[in-house]
Amino acid sequence: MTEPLLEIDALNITYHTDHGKLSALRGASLIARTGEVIGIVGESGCGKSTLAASVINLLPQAAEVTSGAVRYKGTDILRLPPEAQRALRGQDIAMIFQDPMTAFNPVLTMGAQLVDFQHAAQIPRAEKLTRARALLARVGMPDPDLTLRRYPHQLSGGMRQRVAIAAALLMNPTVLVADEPTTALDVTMEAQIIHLLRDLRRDYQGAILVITHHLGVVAELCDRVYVMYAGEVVEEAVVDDLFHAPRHPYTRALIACDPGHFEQPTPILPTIQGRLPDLRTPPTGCSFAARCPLAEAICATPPPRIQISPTQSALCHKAGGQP
Amino acid sequence: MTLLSVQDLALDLPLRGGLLSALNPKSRRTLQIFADVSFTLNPGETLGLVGESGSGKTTLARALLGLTATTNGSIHFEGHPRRTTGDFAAMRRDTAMMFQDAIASLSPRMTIGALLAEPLIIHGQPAPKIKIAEMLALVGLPPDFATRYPHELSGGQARRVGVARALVLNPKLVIADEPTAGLDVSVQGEILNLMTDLKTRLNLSYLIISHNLAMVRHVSDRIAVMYLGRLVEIGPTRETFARPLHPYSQSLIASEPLPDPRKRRQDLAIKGEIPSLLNRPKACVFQGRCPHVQPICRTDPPNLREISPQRFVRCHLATPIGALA
Repeated sequence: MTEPLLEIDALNITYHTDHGKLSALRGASLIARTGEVIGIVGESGCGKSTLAASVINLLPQAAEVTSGAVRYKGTDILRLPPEAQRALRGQDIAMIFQDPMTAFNPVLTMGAQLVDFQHAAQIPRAEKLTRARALLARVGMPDPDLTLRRYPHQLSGGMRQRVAIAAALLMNPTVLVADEPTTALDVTMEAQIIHLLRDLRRDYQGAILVITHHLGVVAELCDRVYVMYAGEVVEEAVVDDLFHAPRHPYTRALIACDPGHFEQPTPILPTIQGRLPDLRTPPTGCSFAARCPLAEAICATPPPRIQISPTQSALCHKAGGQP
Repeated sequence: MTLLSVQDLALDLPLRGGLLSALNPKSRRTLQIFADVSFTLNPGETLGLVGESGSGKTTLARALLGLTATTNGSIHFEGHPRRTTGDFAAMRRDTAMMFQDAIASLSPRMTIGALLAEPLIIHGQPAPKIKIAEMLALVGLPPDFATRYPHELSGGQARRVGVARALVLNPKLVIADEPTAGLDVSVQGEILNLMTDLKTRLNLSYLIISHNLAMVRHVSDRIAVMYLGRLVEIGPTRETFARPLHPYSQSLIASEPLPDPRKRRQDLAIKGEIPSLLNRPKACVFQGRCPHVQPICRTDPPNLREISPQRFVRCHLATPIGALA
């Protein structure tokens, strides 16, 4: 096993809202090693975007890290002074945002922005342009020179997402965080971006974190997966085990609900009854118990993290039994 | 008898030109949104309309209800031609639309009860509290929701209100524009199951518009595939998914990521981008991305033809067993 490049250790994050304190992350832990594509999957409100924002330290003002650490190459980045954090951002840790429409400044050309993104690099402007051009070619833009002269609105959504990926790679980061990179795209464009990311990982010396609610994207792209529910990581597994031997009842329910999973049409689609617990007053026991078909009296007590194999664990009282 | 029949429907929008075109009306250009759209919908049937953003799905749906004027073709609803504003107004109580953004489609300053009563009041019908409670019960919401405001609802609940509002006048045809967009996968099933259940109970016909193939596949009897303003394929859902005949349908179905890491696709189903409407290819609209393209595809526009019973495809090269290279 290689040394973890990025380690999130028992992170607790609270949002201060008008309606009280909300526990967005509750003891979330994650490890990413060089060369891995990590999937972080869950439904809205599960804390996946908060987790992603903590990695690049772009948490909103209302967020407070109450305990835990985010270690990048062994250093806790949450406790670094702001200048040191800024130096990491973009250069060591870069982000691809969900909406390629709003990720760019509409009044500057792509070329100007791709040069600006390299402002920390001590190289001449011409060299920065060359580098931008090379990366645009790398992400499959048909005419890199023309793209450099284009404004964001002149490119389609899929094209813009390619440029956003090129922009994230400009400073050669070692951790790339992609927050719902294909959600805003159509299915044929989504397939192209998945192929691009899969292609990039081969010659990219770092880790990629993909945050998504789409199980199809996880199955196509990731090596290891963290499933989140109500601010907790409820299951961690290698992608094949996650889809073929899931242990947490929430993971199973989530996979069962995906309509892409049925070969034949079904008149009644499975659903998960009930709703997320209120994170202002999280339950003391298992947070999924109220919706879980396997729930028993013991589930009202905090669930243990059961290690099923060296690569798979589940936060569930019942995960120790047969799958 | 068919409920809705659409023949050669087309919509061109005028393009605003510069000063020169204002001086010379002949040079004014138009932008074709869709053309040659023909299909029928039977009572009790669900037709799924799929295609990528910008293919013209939503505009077509609006045109079917007379919310957008068309430039050519005809629409028949219950056997009567629908041309004028009056014709469309007359069919309005038998048709309903579920809009794409459920929360935005509900007026923020009205209670759910008032929102459900509104269609009844507009059509001069009584709207007693009991009727509102019935509608809420129909879509699985408790009666006290009548006093809530839209911002108090979750995405799934707002969808349910959207369904109730669409059904309150007892329509025959419901057009649902992306009924599950923005919903979590665990909630998506609830809305679709509800729609399926109501369809059988109330003998509704649905036109469901979506870019989500996996979803459409489970709820539609027939499926229509739209590309750049043209219907390129129409057929029974099961057969179309098992054996798509148009090269675009083939790539679209093959592009859908499957939730199984053992079925990773190694090559790209479709290359290139949807062309801009301003750069619509002549002849076949799919020629620029088609893996089977032939000279005829660049010269002659293909017609939508019935290639085997119930299966229509707009491709020169398609055969009953698929597209040939």
